[in-house]
Amino acid sequence: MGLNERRYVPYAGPTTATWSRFLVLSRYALRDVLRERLVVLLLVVSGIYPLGAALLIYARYNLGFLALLNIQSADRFLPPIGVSFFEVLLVVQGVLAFFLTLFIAPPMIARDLANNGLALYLCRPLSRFEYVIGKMTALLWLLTCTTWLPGLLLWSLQAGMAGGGWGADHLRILLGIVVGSWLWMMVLALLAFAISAWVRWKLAAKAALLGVFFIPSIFGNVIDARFATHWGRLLNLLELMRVTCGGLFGNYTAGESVVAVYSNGQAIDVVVRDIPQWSAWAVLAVLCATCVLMLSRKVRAYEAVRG
Amino acid sequence: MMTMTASSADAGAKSQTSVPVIALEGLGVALGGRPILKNLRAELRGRSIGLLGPNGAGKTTLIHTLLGFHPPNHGTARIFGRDVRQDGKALRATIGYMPERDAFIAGMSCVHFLCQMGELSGLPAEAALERAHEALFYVGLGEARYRPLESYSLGMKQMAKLAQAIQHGPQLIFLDEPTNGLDPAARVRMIELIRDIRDSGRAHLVLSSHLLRDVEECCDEILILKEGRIAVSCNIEEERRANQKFLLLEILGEQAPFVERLTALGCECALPNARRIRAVLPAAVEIRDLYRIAAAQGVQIRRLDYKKDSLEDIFLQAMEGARAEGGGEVVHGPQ
Repeated sequence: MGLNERRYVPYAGPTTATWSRFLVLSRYALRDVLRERLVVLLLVVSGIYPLGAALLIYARYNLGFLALLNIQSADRFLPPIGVSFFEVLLVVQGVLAFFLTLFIAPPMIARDLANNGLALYLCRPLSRFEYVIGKMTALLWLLTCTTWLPGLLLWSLQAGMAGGGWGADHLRILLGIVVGSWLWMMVLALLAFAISAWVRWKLAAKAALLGVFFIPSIFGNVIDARFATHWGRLLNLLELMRVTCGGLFGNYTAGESVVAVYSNGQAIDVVVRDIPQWSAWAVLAVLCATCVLMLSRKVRAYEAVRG
Repeated sequence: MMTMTASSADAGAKSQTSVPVIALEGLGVALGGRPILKNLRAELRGRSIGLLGPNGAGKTTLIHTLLGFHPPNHGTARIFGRDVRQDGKALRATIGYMPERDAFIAGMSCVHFLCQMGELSGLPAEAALERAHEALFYVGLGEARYRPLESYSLGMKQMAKLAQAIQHGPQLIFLDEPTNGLDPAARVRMIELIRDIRDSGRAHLVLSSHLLRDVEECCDEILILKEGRIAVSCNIEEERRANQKFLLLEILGEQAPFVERLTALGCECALPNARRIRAVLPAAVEIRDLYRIAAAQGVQIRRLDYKKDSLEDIFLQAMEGARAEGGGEVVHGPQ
């Protein structure tokens, strides 16, 4: 099959390791994604808050810098670097990760399914699992750069600058950053891929992903208001992440609050308990399992039509 | 990453001449609860195997099953002696597949598409790029290789699908309706390419088509499917050699007494119409015997042809259900 001879000549050279083939998908997916200006812009934006946080940490421990800004006491003028600081960082970066996923994930899967591309992938030594992992790895790389990697760097910076065993005393924060970020990343990736595989049209998949995040939370609020409960929060993904990450940071306790319920025109105060952590974990586990099931149904070379 | 050394396809092909290319052992496949393939049993050893059958016969399902897309419900299928279920992944490294449906990866040029496919098949990046260029020139898309796949015409997409199927130098290539949607010139080019690959002797081919002419031009062995069962499995060349004593006679005169004399000689006769006789001669009977009988009967033999069963004849007989009725029994060649 030479250029000049135009004859069929089989390939007889070396081949790559079978286990590494899924990384080919990641590489090509990343290359495609990084050609989009919007994605690059989002990645740059996602670096702004960690950069600000890094400056803040630096400023707290740099007396010369504080004097330059005419700040007498860092504790008085600058926010403390503790659990809340990193929790807020995770929330901000988590929201950016959501938007990044919204723009990146749907085209990755939906395009292949819409153009019958899966048969071309799966007729090679590549399993359906490897296909999904290959694509997901590209997404997770970018989300890593947005979520736990900056968190880890900031934690390391803080531990280094604070010294005195701050790092050893605040390992729980590190756990919250890494595990919380991975949990959020996996939920986002699975949800986005499952929806994209089901919908097969990237615009509709983006709309559906937005809908899945916001419409159930509205229903949840209606349930909470109607039945004087907080169980409706289980339909709110952001709330679920707040509860689970709060638990990981050791900063969440299911407290009680008083809610006014109107009955026969009379307001009655009802004591309502916050949702327990286990329920948030359980809902996320069910959600992830459902996404895996959806992917296993749809990520196929060809779909068998029942009937 | 380069940890394995691929055996050359040539060596692979030679080492596998003793085992069938494809062996089906009671293979059954049901999709959506509906049986599609029913108890298929066959051993296919040809260099180029034609898969024939009307729409819905199960040709594509058989290919998909061999590729591991559909699990068999019962029985087994083997390629080069290896079970498609147990060794599916390893087998797919030695297989190329050109799907029937429009299939491509959007958002990339054809050369990048082929690069990705080559790397997924195990080629190192540099080799994949080199082979992508070569494959595209080979199929005649050299000048259009940097164009996005979405902008290709149907014929160009067919060629691109062929290129991705052969780029990594597979030992077995499945071509599912390769001439679909091609104009006559492009069809001729596609057939030439398929024959070139076949004649290279480096790869086996399985060509699924409902166009008998395509199969006749490219294949040396055929498997005809009908309603999920094997209607005929035969080697076309052997069939042609076996039918050398099959005659088509056109006569003028009384047909019945002439046929009676032929039958008395041991010939098997069929009468398509009042002037034509199809006869299979026993080994001892010569052509001059026929002329002698004709002269004695006052019959003129106006035309006498050695008739070989064409693929069309074999196919039509299979579709008429004259043969292979009753389960998955395989009938080798025409009776």
